[in-house]
Amino acid sequence: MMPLRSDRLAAWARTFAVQGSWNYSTLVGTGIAYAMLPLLRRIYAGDPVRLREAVERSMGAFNGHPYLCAMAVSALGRLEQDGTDPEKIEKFRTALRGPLGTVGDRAVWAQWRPACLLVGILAFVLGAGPIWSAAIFLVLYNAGHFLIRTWAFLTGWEAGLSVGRLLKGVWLERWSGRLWPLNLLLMGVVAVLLAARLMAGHVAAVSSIAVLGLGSVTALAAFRFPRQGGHMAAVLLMLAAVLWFVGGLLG
Amino acid sequence: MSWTELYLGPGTWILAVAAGSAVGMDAVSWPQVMISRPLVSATIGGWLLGNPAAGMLVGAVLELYAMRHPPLGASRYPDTGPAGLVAGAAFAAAGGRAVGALLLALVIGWALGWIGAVTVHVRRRLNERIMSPVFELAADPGLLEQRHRVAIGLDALRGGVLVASFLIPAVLATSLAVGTGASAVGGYALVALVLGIAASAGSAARVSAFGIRGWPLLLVGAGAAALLMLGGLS
Amino acid sequence: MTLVLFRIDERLLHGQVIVGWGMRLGINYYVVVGDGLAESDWEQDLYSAGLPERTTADFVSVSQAIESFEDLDARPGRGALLTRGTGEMRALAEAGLLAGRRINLGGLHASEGRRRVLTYVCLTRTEEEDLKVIAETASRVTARDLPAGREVELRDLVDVVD
Repeated sequence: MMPLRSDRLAAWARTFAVQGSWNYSTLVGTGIAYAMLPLLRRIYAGDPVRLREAVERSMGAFNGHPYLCAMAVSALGRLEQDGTDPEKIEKFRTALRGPLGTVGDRAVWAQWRPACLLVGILAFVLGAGPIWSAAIFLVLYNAGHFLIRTWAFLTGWEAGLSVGRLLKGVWLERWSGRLWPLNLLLMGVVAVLLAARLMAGHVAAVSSIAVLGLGSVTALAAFRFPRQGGHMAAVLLMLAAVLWFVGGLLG
Repeated sequence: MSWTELYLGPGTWILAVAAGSAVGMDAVSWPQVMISRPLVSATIGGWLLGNPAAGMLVGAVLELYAMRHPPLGASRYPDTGPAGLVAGAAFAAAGGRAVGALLLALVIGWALGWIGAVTVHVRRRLNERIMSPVFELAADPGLLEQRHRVAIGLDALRGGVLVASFLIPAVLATSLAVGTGASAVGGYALVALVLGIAASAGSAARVSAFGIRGWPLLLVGAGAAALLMLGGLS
Repeated sequence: MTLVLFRIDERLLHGQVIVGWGMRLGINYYVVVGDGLAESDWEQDLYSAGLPERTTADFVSVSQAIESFEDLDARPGRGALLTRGTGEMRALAEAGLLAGRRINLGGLHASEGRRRVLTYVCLTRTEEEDLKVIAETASRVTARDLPAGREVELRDLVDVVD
């Protein structure tokens, strides 16, 4: 039987929990099956044997960006609905893992989330209240999040086997590809304003200009060697705490 | 020092643990709306202790530290929800002003993020057991749903336990740290903190960049902000 | 000689290849050799959907690859040739095309009939034989998942199995 609108809505809602049972052997696979169940139960209503087979193949290893997994859920559901040959479904699953991971990671984790976080921090350091700043981040970010998830689900259901053609040069890639210069600019702005906020009213050992110069060199070095830069950031934080408390004890 | 002075009565503690469950679960399991980001979770922690601005100040710094770890595939990254909440609450409880308390809250938030990462790893292993054997779950979809929900519930429990274990020690430690005053050596502490922020910002920027060609943009942003401040000061 | 990477990986175009190797080596075109895939438009669309901008992927059958190898190997830029299994790579080797090349074994995962030799490499008897034939003409056959990973020589892989 064809899944009803309410079944599809239930499956869409379940995609929010797609990583709920994330594990090292099937990764997000069991979650995909969990989200597909409202569709599968309708498609194989009254046929427990075929339902079991469908659930079993849906639980296989899968990975991909969690928001775009909505596309896997609906497209795989569509294939089941169309009575697609299981071997073809398996090929489709295998091929789909690549793009859902790379497209989603690049668009959401590398661009959209940092952009929204930086806007949130910027609001805060420019004087918006903390609740407002957090709200700005959450609303802005989740507008994109819900849009992506919903678009992915609808597209997967519509396109079924041919989602690949739609993923190539998709709006998500194009838009997120344009965001990176903004993220770099905002990072520079936010780091300086946040540092200024922390230093306000305190006496530092060296002048503000010197701190700005040293900070710029440090940031560029960390940008060039991000791994070592991250370690250095952690060491500097520990060093700051040690210096403060040792200094306090010594008088 | 009484509990009321700290704003950390039993009711607040319970709320904080509940919030810890929510932000702990959000990062991976459900619903990934990013209340698990330290920018948000630390603000929630500060808000529970009566000073959301103090929480967000801690959260903003922790955010720059966390941003260089995108959650790609099976990689390890800090678990920032409960960690940010504890750090933000601790700084707020300590008055939200003292540099010593701020530095200690940041160290706690950073360390707790990596302790949380270990619990995330344990959970991924545990889920392998919960979600097997495959044929049994496939034969009974109701059981599959139940196990999946149990796995999500355990993630929430994980976040709650982290906050329950570390909130009171963190609040006590930062409150004690309030007493440490500025000193000659301590003057360098702020410089180190700012350089740490610079290093984390530079490192985090690479997540968004394509290669290293965008580096001047970082400087342009920093320069614009510096000019903005000079304008504000004069 | 613009093909700089020859890789056997059943996942073909995925994150490890595109991000891990592609960005490190500056790959701007991929050649995917496989008979089934060369015929299947929807699969091609899916596999190439994750490619970065200005990067192309061509899907060719084994016989097409052998025929047009010189052209594929003389394109502007740097290329990577990928096969899903050992059989396709063996066919290229037997056609004498892999002389002096290094072959990278990137991912053949657990399935029935395969024995695990590394976390990401499991081999059947036939696949072992294929690899030995490839090694006769290629300069080196090694397993390595990512550029930063440990490189394992073929004789160590096959020794473990034997």
